Order: sequence, then C-alpha cells, then structure tokens
Amino acid sequence: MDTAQASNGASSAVAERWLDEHGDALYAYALPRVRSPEAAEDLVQETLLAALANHHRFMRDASERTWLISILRHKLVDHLRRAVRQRPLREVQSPETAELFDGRGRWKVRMSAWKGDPHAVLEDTEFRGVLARCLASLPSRIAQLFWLREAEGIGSEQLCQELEISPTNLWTMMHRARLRLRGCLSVNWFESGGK
Amino acid sequence: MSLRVVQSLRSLSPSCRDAARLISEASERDLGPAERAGLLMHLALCRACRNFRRSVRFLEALLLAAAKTQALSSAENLSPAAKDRISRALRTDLNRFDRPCP
Repeated sequence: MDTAQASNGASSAVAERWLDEHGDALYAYALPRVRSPEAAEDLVQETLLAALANHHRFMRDASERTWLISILRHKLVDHLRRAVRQRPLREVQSPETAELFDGRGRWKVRMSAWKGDPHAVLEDTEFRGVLARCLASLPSRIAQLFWLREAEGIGSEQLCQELEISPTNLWTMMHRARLRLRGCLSVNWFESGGK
Repeated sequence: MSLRVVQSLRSLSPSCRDAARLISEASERDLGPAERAGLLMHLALCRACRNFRRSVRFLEALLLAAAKTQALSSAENLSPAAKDRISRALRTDLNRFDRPCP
C-alpha cells in the first residue's frame, strides 16, 4: 500500500468515527436553528467535510466535540446568511407593540424583574425547553437574524451590509424579537416561579 | 422630590414605548446625547423600563452562553438514511482529494 492510500484509509476511518460519535449532536445543534431536517443534514455533512480538510489544525487538548461544533457554527452562519439573502426581508415598519403599550405609550403588560444568572439557568433542562419553545415561536427570519446578532455576536453594521438590509429595519426586527422573547420567557418561566 | 417636580420631569422624558426602543437600539448603535439623556431620565423614574433593560441584558448573556454550549439542541437524531448519505459523501470526498498523483 502506498502512503496516499494509507492516509486515505486513516482519514476515512476518522470521518466515519466522527459521524458515529458526533453526527447526532451536530444535527441536534443545527436543527432548531435552521428548522429543516434537510438543511440540518447538509450542515452536518459540510461540517465533517470541512473538519477533514482541516484535520491538521485540530488541537489535541481541545475536545473533539467542541471543535466540530465550532466548525458547525461557522457553517450555520453562512447558511443563515444565504437563506436571508435568497429571500430578501420585507421592510418591517413597526415592532408590533400595540398590545404592549397603551395610547400614551405606557406599558400595558407587567414588567417583572428577571432574577437569577443566565449561565446558571441554562443548566436547567426545563428552562432550556422553555427557551427553545420561545425561540421557535418567533417568525423564522427574525429568529435567524436574532441568532446571528446575539448568539453569534455579529455586529449590526456587518449584518446590514452583508444582508443588504437597512439599519432601521434590523433594529426594528431585533426590538421585536427582544419584546417577544421577554414576554414569552416572563410568562412561561420568570413569572411562573421558575420550575 | 415634590410631586410637581416628578410630574414635570415625566413630561420631559420619553414614553415607555420610546424608552424601550432606545434600550433595544442601544445594543445596535450609539445613542445620541439627547437620546441618552432622555433615556436616563426616564429610567430614573420608571421601574418597569429598568426591568425591561435588565431582561434585554439577560437575554444577551443567555443567547451567547447558549451558542457556546449545546444547551438548545433538539432531542432528534440523524436518520439512518441521512447517516448513510453523509458517510458516502465523506468517502467520495476522500477519494477526490487523496488520489495518488499520476
């Protein structure tokens, strides 16, 4: 066997093992973000292909799962950008606040104080379920943009440029996402006494 | 503060609707001096908007932390058919790259 074949055999075994050990976790991470099984499967495939191509960059002291998830997050960002670009966003004029404020612009809903620590509360399986359902209840494009902005930490200016949307449109959509998520989490978690 | 002072400050500060928008936009852009002053005045007088600002910051930290962990993963697995397809794609790709030079 020559060296090329040997390395092919080794890489192929590594890729198969990644798929077995981490394929489900990668899929489960991607699915709620893209909301489509086909797109999530494609992302797992793209991630593993990219991982194979960059195998030499893997730091031995990092966890393999963490490394693969970080590659998946890059692929996910690309996917969400493509998705928003292919079907351009409508201009959103108002954050739909009629049910939140009265005629004089005062809150109509209870504005409770959220207590606790974001990192600690994420450890709670039940809370994670509530958060996932609240994110899933947002319109898909708004949820995708909110994820890029807040979770992946992409700056507003950069998002506006790359997705060719106006800053006011982005701000309005982010505001809408925050108002709705805050409302959903308040009712389903913070005001119902947590667990 | 006397009631009249509080009332006149209230009439100068933005409404909760505008304050909430400014709280949100402060995460997206730098607010102008007038906007900042109005917002600060409103926040000093309005517990509800202070609570809103707190939940906006909570949400930011929450989403950042959720992205780094697998906290929001679904419970679903790859279907056997999908696994098979991906496995084949990986092998095809390896053959493409690792073919010995002619």
